[in-house]
Parts: sequence; C-alpha cells; structure tokens
Amino acid sequence: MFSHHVSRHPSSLTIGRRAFPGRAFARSLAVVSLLLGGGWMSARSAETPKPGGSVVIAMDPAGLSILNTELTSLSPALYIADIWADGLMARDGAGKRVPHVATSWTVSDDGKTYTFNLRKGLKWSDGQPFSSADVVFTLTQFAKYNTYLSKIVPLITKVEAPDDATVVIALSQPLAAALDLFDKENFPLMPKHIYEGTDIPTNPANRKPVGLGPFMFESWEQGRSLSFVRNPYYWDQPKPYLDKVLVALIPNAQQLLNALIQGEVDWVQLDFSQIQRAQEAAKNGKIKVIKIEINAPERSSLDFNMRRQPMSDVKVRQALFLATDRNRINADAYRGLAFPATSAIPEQFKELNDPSVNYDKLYPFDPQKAAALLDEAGYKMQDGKRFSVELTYIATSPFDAIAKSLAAQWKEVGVDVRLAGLDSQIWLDKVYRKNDFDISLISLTGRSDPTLGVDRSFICNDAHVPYTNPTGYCNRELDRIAAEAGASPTPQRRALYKQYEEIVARDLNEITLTNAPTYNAVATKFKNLDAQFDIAFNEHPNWAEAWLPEDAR
Amino acid sequence: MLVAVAVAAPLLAPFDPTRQVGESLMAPSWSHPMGTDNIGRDLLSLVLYGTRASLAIGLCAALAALVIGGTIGALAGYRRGITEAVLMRLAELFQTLPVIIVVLFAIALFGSSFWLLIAAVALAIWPLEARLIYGQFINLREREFVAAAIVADLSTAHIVLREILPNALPPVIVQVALDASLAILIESGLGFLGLSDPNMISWGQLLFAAQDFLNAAWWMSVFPGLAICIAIIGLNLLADGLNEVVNPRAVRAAIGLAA
Repeated sequence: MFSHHVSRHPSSLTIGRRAFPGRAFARSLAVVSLLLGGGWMSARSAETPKPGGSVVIAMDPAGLSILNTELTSLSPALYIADIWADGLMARDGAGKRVPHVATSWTVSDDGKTYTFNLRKGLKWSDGQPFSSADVVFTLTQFAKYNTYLSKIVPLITKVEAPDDATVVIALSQPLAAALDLFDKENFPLMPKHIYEGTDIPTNPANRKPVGLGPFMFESWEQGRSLSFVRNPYYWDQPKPYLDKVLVALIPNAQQLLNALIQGEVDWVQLDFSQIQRAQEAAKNGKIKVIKIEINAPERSSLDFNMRRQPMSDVKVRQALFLATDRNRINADAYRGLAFPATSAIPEQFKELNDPSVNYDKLYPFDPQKAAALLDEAGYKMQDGKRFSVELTYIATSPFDAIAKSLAAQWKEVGVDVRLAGLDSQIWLDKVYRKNDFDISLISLTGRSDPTLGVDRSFICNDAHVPYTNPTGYCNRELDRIAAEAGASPTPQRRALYKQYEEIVARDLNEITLTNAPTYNAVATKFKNLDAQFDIAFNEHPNWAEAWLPEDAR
Repeated sequence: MLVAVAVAAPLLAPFDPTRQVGESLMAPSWSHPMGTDNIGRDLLSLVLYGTRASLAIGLCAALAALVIGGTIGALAGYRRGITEAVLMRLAELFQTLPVIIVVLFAIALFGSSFWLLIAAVALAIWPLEARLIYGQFINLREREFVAAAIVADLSTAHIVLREILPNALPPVIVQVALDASLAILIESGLGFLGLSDPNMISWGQLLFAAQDFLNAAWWMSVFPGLAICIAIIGLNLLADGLNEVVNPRAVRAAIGLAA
C-alpha cells in the first residue's frame, strides 16, 4: 500500500546501524496499514501537482492563546504547529522516522550521544538563515517550558554545534525515547534571532510565529480564524503547492462536521460523537474519513484520590473496576470506535505491551463480584447504598457521557456517584493543583512511548503539574522499574513493562478505561492525500503534500 | 397538571431514569416511547423526572424572588425618602444586568448546584417583583384605609403586612407565575450550555447532551424541547387565568414576560 508514495524524503537517510531500541520499535509498527476506506485511490494518477489554491481547516479553539508549541500543548496549537513549525524528524504512517530539518542522525553505541546532520542553506520564514545554533538555542532556552522535554533535560550533559550543519547532544545515561523527544511534535525548532535576549514566554512571536514549516503566519482574528501563506523558504521545494492555509475556529463538534459536509471547510479532526455521521456523509465521495492507524493512544482514565476514604482501599478500587462496563462505555461514549484498554501500557506500543496482563480477564464486568468485594472491604449495603463518591470531569463530550454511564453502572452495586462536571480550568485546579477530588475522569495521550505519555500517571509525584499522577500513589519499586525500562533496549523493556503492568493492575491508582484511535475527515477534492496523511502519533497534516486541481478551486 | 406529573413521576415513568435500560440512541418504540439517549437511558422517564427539577427550580426561584423583591419593594414603597432612592436604584442596577450573564457569572464563581441555581435565578429576577410591589405600595399608601390605620396608631409592621400587602398581592401572584416560567427558561438555557447541576435531571441538561446528536437522534432534542414549551405555555396561561380571577374587570393585558 505504500509503494506508490512519492519519495518525499530523499536518499540521504543514513540512520546509525546500531540496534537502538526506538528504531527497532518503530520498525515493528510498520505492518499496520494507514488509510481507511474510499474509492478515491483509483483516481490517483501520475498527474503533476499544480501550484495554487487554498485549504480551510477547522477546529475548536478551546482557549487558544499562543501558537508556540514549545510553550503549550493545547490541541488546537498542536494542530496548527504542523503548518508553520518544523523539527529535526517526523514520522510516516508506519511510525518510521523520516528526515525533515535533519537529513540524517546517528546514535552512539552506548546510546548516550546523538549526532544530527542538518540541511544546509535553510532559511526561516522571515528570510533569515537557519543554522545549528538555532537548534542549540531551542534546546537550551525552551526546554524548561516544554512539558515533554522536561524528561530529558536533567540527563543532558552537553549540547554542541561543531559546525553550522551539525548538532551533538550527549546524555548522562541512555534514554529509550530520546529520539522521540527530538521529533517535530515534541521539539519544534525556534529562531534564535527572534527570541535571543527576550523574555521567552511573553515574546510577541509566540502569537506571530516564525518557523521552518511549509506555511508562514499571516494573521489571526481572535476567536474567528487564522491565516497562513506559502513559505517561500520551505526546505522541501517546490512544496507546498497550496498558496494558503486558513484555520476556521468553530467551537462545536457537530458544527465542525456540518461545515465539512457543506464544503465550507476541508479538514477536521473528528469528535467521536460525529464519526458515524461523517462515515455516512462520506458515501457521496466529497469527503472521506481517515483513521490514523498508529496514533498516540488516547487513554480515558479514572484517577482515584488515595489520600481519601474509601478510595484508599485497594479492594474498593478493584470493585469499582469490576463494576464498570467498559464495552458499554466504548459503545456509548465512543460510538464503538475505541476499545477497552488491556493494561497500563497501551496496545499501540506493540513491542512493549505484554498481553499476558489483561484487564478484561482480571477485571471483567461483574457486578456480583464487585458487590462481594465491597462487602469484604466493609462497605455493606445500607438502604440501597454503600457510600458516596464525587466524580469530577470536564463537562464536554465524551466525558459527560462516560461520567453518566459510570454513575449508572456503579449505582447498581450501591455506590452513589455525585457528578461534578466542571469548566476545564476549574477542573484542572481542583484535581492537579489542590488534589481536592475523590475520583477524576480524563483522557490522557500516551504520545509515542510509555516514558513520555504513560509514566506520568503512575510514578511518584509531589509536584502539582497538570496531567501528572494526582492520586498520591507512590511505589518506589514501580519507579525503579519505569526508570530501568526507559533506559533499556527494546527486548529488555518488554519484560520490565510486564512487571510494570502487573503492579499497576494490582494497585490501580488509575484505571485505564478505553484506548481510542484518531479520526480525521478531509475533502476529497485535494490530490496526493495519501502522502499528506502518511503520518503517525501526534502528527497532523502539514498541507505541504496536498494540491488542488484547477477545476476544484 | 405539571405538578401532578412532577409528583407522580416515579409512578408514571416506565424505568429508573438513571439506569441504562437499553442500547444508546434507540429510536422511539413501544418499549421506549421517546427512544433512548446517548448512554441508553429511557428518554420518557428522563423527561418525566425532568419535570421535577424544572418545576422545583421555577417555583423556588420565583418564590425566593418574591420574598427578596417583595421586602425591598414594600420597604421602598412605604418608607420613601433615602430608603426608597437607594433600594430602587439597586433594583434598577440589577435590572440593567442581563439575566443570563448574572447567572453565568454566579455559576462560574461558585460552581453549579441545585440551590445555587435557585439563588442565582432569584437574584436575577427579583427586581421585577420589587418594582411591581413598590408600585402597588406607592399607590395604596395614599389610600384612606392606610391613613386610618396610621391615625389608629397601629405598628408599621401591622400596616405593611396586614393592611397594604393583602391589597397589593393580586397582580404579584400573576407575576410569580410568569417568573416561574422565566426561571425554567433560564435553567434550561444553563443546562443547554452544560452549566446546570449534572446530578439533577432537567430538560435543559437533556438538550445539552442532544446537541451532538441533532442529526443522528432527533428524539433527544425534540421531546425535552416540547416539555419546555408545554411548561412555559402552561405557566403563561396560568398567569392569564389568575389575572382574570384576581382582577375580573381588568381590560388591560396582563403584565408581559419582562425579559
């Protein structure tokens, strides 16, 4: 299925031949196919791309205030960053690393030294020259603001630029996910000449960015739209073919899809409540639904505040898991398009997930067993009720539906659930800053490696950082295993992650309910969409590949 | 009749409204006459139970507004002078604030619960009552029977509560019915925005969940919407009826919905 791809990444790929775990892992993912459905494939031919035209993409702005994704990980900022920013490497649809600003990279035998060879003669979208100094600057100046890089910053012993086109990074110990951290999603490159000597968080360029991406920032009408125009200095000429990318800000999932169906916009990332309708609408051939096969896992999760009764009792947590009908939650809140998670390590990480630990077997939906376990824990049924807990969540889809499902299911075993559906900021403050909650519901991205997206839920955490373990759970043994797994080559990692899964499955400070894929929908009037959607994990289309035939403009 | 439905909801409803009794998004059928919602609860039962929350909020908020507005209106109308100036300017200040914004603000500050909703809605609509009672008091205070009571050296409380208030009440009762419908509308609006108390089943909440399924499941929005329509029309007709009862000779139209 991939043979037809235009070779967008020329031959200079000379990745180090060492059995580096991340690479082996990436290779293993290459089996999965990329694209779903659609007879449009047959329409593809050897047409030459024609420059011109524009694409309108739409998203929920959800509090978008800055565009610089070194400083924010808000979804709309991440969607938009793919347009204007670029980084050393990206991923193709099979999860394999492909060169972007770096043409090649090598990893030393001990896994501690990373050498990146950069493209020569590159320019920023404002015409200023790009060099290895910019990469060094981004790593040394932005890392402290970047949620994901915080993992690697303490390990960095040296960042050097021996010449204009080479960067060498040395770590004090190997980190399996190091290359993941240097890809364009986690580490978008920022221009030194704009940021040097300024206060980085307040620099106006965070709202009017200068980057290396295929398009450059033109304007931002707050709450309505953003506009990006073709970047004449983009490294992969003659791309991009389109003249313009317009971002329409539409705050409602249904309206987003309506706009796409009516041809007012050309791309949306679909909310689960809308996927079936999108698939229905796709039958007319004007739009198509694309499933990103190797996505960053979206794990809907329940966090128990273990500082409080009765959540401090492991039997209560296990009983609540047994009382939860995850198939039903998948069917209702995700319209059957997600799947019940089997363990703490998401299934997308095929080389790391050990299927012998299986929540479906350990905690199948079994209200009787749950009731018995609650009796055993000393919470007897009195007047149809055992105890009350508060379940807090952000009052939007799909959490609203999941929370109401849980309330209905737990009521059957005598657990009274008070729902607290809150505004996202109030919820964040309550759960992560004040730890003033009983049980919290959220969906967490697993990113491209457990060390980046999963560890944060389980390892000891005293800091009040959003989206990191708010439960008060702290198990030094698990921390040790997580650290060791993060620094080991893939074959050893799996055995360690098996222990990891077992400990989490026993202690359950957090229950992973479902694991959800990512769906995009796009107008079929664009050509070369298969190359455009040859992406994985947290990437979104950058619109450098797609082009629009003249009769479709 | 709505009250009857609200009281009898447990008898009328075929299912427990918080239970997942069927598949999600089932179209209306004999077993689920209004279909099921997005997590498989019976919509008929939800709508019936929703009557309770909506009516409770409507009536409680209207009565609370009556107490607050009534006290302030009566004081201002009877005392006059500084008291009048201060209290009525205060009422006007509240009247100039858009109702829904006041309520949204209160909920953003304090979170959402049943009693807070009532307080917020009452806070937003009390000036209507205050102005009405104030008008009645100004009018009645100059009457002979009040002068007679003052001459008889009766206490102020007696004059206000026993002499003037009973005569001032008839149009106010009509206003309370209208306020109740206003309160239901405000609660529905908040529920629709996802800001109502999620532990309570209300029509607005049902509409909130229905937003994402307008095309896929029309029944999720149509039936709760109908229930709101019926309740509002019912309360307005009730207000008209009351108006005729308390003021049979009136030719002028009843006081309209003020927001």
